[in-house]
Amino acid sequence: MIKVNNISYAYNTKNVIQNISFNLKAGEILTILGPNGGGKTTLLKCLNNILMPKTGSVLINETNISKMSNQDIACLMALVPQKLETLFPFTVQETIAMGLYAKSKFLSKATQNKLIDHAIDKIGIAYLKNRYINELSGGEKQLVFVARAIIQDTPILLFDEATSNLDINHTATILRAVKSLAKDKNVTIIAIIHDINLAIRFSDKIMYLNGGDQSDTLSIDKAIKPKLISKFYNIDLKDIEFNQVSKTINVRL
Amino acid sequence: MLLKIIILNFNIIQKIVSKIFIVILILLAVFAIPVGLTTGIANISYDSVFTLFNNNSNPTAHLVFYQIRLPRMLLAFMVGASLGISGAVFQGLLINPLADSYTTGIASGSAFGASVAILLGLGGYFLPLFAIIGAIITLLAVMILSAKSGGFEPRNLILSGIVVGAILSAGLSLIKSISGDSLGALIFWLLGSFSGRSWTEVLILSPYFILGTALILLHIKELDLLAFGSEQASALGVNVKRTRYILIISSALLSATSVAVSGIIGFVGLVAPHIIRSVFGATHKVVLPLSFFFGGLILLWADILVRALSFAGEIPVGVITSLIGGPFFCILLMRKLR
Repeated sequence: MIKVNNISYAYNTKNVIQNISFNLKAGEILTILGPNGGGKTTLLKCLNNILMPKTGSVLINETNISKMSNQDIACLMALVPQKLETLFPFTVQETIAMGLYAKSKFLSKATQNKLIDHAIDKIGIAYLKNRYINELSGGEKQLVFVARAIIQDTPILLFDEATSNLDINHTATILRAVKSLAKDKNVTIIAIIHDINLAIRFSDKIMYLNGGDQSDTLSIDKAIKPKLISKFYNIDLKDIEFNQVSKTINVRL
Repeated sequence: MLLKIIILNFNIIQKIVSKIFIVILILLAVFAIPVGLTTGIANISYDSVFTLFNNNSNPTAHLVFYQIRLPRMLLAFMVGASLGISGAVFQGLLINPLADSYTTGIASGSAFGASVAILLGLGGYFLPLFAIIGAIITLLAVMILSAKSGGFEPRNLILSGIVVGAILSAGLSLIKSISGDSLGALIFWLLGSFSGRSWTEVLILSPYFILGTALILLHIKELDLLAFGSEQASALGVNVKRTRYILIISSALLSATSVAVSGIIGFVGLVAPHIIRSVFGATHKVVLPLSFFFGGLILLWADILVRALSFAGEIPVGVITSLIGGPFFCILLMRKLR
């Protein structure tokens, strides 16, 4: 489905990611874990061609995305950003409808409205429908942007810390909705989640990333090794507590 | 529950306010024609306005009607509409509700070009030509500076516009200081007016007016997406670079040619889209056509007011728009609907 070959990116002269490679099959959920400033968001932007990688390539179904138009890419990949602000009073409904931009020429107005209502119901934000986006809290905005990504109906979904501002109830709603996309519609998910224990429960695979240093895409059992966490997060091994029974990781305070 | 009731009522209030606003716009448009044609030094009655459509039994009135007031009104509407729609585009594109053609330096470039023409004693077609050349050079300078300072992003464009605008303002002051006898003409022109304008100015403005407006209206959806930033617009499928070029060039064209035919007219490009957004929300399929229409009506009525007050010499319309627009904008900011 998606093949990433030796991607590197530098802001001016500072290398942020170097020679990153991995493959994912359709319907797999990969979470990228790593410290702040480790290049996770940069990698996601390179996958979506928002940033042009300095080297390497991203292939989707064997086609290089650098040869595709933004519109073609938007039909294949949706991105839920880390944070999004606008000063203008768009309604929630109008904001979600923007997810249909790339495909809107092929959809009737009635179909578009149906899709918007479906996405709103799926995330459970009917009560926000007529509110203005610039008046919502950070968490509410994130719910709207998840709904907007769902409406894009793409085979790949990129999640950049999309649950970071959400309470546990909304976090669970979102992650359940996203997981069901992977299982029912074979959508491939690449997510950045800071909470390791949440990542363990959510993902099929985990990849650690810190600049030029990258782990393989590991199964959950192989990924939850204190040694790996110590290495990638630069934490003293003795401060990491691993509970074998509940499969949870904690850092001693 | 309480929140739902408040939201529901808020939506109903919004809908009522927007309907009242539309009715006011229609009334302003309908009454502008008879009031506009009968206001001014030459006395033309309401009755004769309607008979003049069918015959020319009164040649003087016919001349005032066809050669002076009609082109003047049309020009005022076209300039106001150009400033309104280009202001809305600049605000959306630069993600800044306070942006307009002055923020990007375009209006200053246009004014500078025109003042060079006045200094050289060139009139007629040369004045708008110089104004447009001034605007084009400014636009190129702003774009190059922006591209060299980290890309075609809103922040870079605004900063480049402010820097280039400041240099041009200094240049304009220099021209004023050396203009000698033409200082009066220069200052009057800079204040913005439709006095003495004819079909010539309407014809000069028309091709740019049609082309610029059409290009903008073809990019309504893209402008909505760009209001969330270039990365998001790009991720949703917009060709950001191309769309920005087209929109900046079209709105620069509209504001530059407006300055070229009428001088500097402030506040319309800022206030019209701002009011429309606060009543109707931000979606550009509503904001663009209504800012166009509302901007046109504001300037049309401001010019009617100028003519009604012209018994003591004509006040430049740019002074009226700033005098009324400025305090009105202050009230709007303090009683911000959202």
